[in-house]
Amino acid sequence: MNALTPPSNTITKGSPHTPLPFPHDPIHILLVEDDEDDYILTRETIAEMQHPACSLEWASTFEAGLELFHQHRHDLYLFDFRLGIHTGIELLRLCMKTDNHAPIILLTGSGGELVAVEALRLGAADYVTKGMMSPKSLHRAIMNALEKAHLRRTLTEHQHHLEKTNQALTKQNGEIQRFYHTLAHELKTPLTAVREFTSLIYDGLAGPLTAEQREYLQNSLECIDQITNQINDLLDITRIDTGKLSIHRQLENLELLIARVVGTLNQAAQHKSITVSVSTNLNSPEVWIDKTRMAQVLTNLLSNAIKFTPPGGTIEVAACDTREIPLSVRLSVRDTGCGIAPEHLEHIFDRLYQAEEGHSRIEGGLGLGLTITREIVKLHGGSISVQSQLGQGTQFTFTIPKGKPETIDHQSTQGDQDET
Amino acid sequence: MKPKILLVEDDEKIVKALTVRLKSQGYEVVAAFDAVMATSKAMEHHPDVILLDISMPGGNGFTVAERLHDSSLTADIPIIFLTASKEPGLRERAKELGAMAFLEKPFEAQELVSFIRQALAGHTVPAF
Repeated sequence: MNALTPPSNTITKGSPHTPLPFPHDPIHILLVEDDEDDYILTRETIAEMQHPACSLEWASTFEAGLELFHQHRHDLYLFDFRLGIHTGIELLRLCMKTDNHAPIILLTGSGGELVAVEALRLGAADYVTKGMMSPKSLHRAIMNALEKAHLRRTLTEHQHHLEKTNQALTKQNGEIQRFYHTLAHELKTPLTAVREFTSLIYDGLAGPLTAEQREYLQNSLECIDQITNQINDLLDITRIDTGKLSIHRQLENLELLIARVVGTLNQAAQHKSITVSVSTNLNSPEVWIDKTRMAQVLTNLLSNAIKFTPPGGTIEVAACDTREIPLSVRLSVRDTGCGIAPEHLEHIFDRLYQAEEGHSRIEGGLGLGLTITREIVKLHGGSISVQSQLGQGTQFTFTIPKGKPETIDHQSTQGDQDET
Repeated sequence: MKPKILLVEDDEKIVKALTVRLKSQGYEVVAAFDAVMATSKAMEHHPDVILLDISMPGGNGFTVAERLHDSSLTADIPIIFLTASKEPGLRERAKELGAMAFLEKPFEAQELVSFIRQALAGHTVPAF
């Protein structure tokens, strides 16, 4: 084996941290060539390239070439097509299976286009026709190959980095979810005892009460339920943040569901002398929904309406079929409340909007309810909107498909289905 | 004879409060604080209804329910699951195990009492 200059051990190309090959960087090349005359010719061409510190090592057989390739010591490889009983293509095929990703240029004889195409298909960086090889063309091919290899390595490095980051984030998401679930569990357990003890006293099981005491305990119970709702909202927001909010749709009677939600909140409405009316106009009340989640949507909208409607006001809950395809149902909750200023209206579903300084409060609590409401409607393949006039009132309207998820026109729901 | 309720719950304060409530409704209450005690008390007392927490030491409510289903002595006792957890799939799992009802903590005592009455009357609870 001969070499133009002694191989330099300082060059460690092939590692993922190779710098961009600048025109004056030293290059260490291995030539696999079984013809000594051709080796000399190539050596002279390389010398004429006048590239500083360019060293050439020569392997005169297929086997020696393969062995040296495995040593990962070179920045670039030049394989001749003819290698005794073997070919450069065979060598290339073997080399591409290794973890040495340094660029390989195939040297072909004239008329070797088919070979060149095959070499490129197998992963060669380039090919050079020997008869047309000049110092300039070889130098250009070498520098291009090195730069391409560098870019590929950088890309791979970035891909690995992204994959690692993604894995870390997925793991972190899981940990956040678990933390919030544990937190919620640990908060709700004592809350259950507080609620039940308060409830026992309220129900007179610990002795007779005055009307005033009962009223205070009633307030306590309402506050406990508020805390519970806030904890549940926090959990839902965490689910939305980590892409884990999901729904389980079944065929449910929507009219009964509306009646149940209105029934639950009727007392709060009556307390403020607010009239809640329900009107439905559905061919069939059976709709494919997640009953618990849909009740949450209606409860959010209705309790907001009650909160912002002055005493003596009215709230209308309506449900009707639409003419849309897929067959859908439109639900609305309209109140005669204080309304929402136009500058807030477009942000009303944004998470934490009301927490920002200077914004008046749009809904109670943490202001997560409407964000969660919108997500649940989206998961049902629907959409929600709001119209409001200051001093006149507000109307929330949402539309969801009625049918079984898989029978609904796929395109209309696919985006939202992917989120589940 | 008073209907007997087995209350499986590891939080002593919840046990104390619910015991007062259930006794006020005319039920006899037996309490168990972990999974092992839950199974043995169910075998020993053969309650009319079991209120079963899901997270508890020594196992969980689902494994207790499976064990009770496997024994002819306890297989037919209606189970009402109680949980403070919002982990997805718990309600579905409870349903698969043939539970009568599923209540998220904190709950309204009236709702629990209503489920117990329905369970004692042999009804399946429609609000599951």
